[in-house]
Amino acid sequence: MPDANRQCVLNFLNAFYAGDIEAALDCCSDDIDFIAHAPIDILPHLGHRHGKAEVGEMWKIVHTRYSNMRHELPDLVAEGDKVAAHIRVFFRKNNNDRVVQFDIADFYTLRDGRITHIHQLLDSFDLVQQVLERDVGADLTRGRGG
Amino acid sequence: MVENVNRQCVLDFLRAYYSGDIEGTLACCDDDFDTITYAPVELFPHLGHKHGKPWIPDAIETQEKRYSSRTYELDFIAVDGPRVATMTRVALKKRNDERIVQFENAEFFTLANGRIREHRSFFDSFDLVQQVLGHDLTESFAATVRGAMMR
Repeated sequence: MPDANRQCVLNFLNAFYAGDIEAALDCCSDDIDFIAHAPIDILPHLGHRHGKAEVGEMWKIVHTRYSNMRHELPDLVAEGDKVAAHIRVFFRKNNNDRVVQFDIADFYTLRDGRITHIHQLLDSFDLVQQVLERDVGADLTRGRGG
Repeated sequence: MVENVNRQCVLDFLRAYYSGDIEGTLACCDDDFDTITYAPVELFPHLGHKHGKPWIPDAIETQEKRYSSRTYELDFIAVDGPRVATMTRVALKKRNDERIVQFENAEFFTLANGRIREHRSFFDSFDLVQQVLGHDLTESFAATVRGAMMR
């Protein structure tokens, strides 16, 4: 089963980053549970979603913000019903054509060949800086020194 | 089986690292150890990209200076040949105010000859900065980001 689960996750990633939300959802169970650890006050399209309708809606919002999305897969680890992926993503912003690039850690749990849980972690501080186009770290260190 | 050796090496690494056992942690790592922790290095200078084993005692000593206790729970582990991925729930007690900082930590290990050669780590860095500072940053930035996202 690990090879089938590995392939399911690969199919999911290819579909998602190609913008094929329906195909990505086909890789998921009806009770898919998604959680991305990120500041939802700032990035409200992330956070916790449950079920295909909520998760699909969240993914549609992400895809409307970016005109082009691609990914690379530095690492993929599959064992039994668990798959973990280190993903490098490149998103082109619709508003100014700038590219946001960041790395994500995704942890998948599968059942009967479909993804039931996605647990996502990323350098959210860096993502906020890139979205804001502002050096938040410098702001904080200046503030602390002042 | 090599997967069992690699699994045990990573489990030993986590146990040794969080218990402050420098020698035990070093013993799990290859001489060519390479690590990247995806975090703002201007705020966490002991993180970022480091090469070689000397990083390990530095990282442990830095954490031991800041935190009186460091514990973890293993929520996820997958082993696939020389590759291991873990997700741990980490709790650190700050020495200065005794507050607990908690976060989920994702790690990817690549092993060679039973030792960790490559280590990559991810966590919700914005939330950790808020916890370490002891105040909410989101209000300051929320309106700006909402505007940026909608343009």
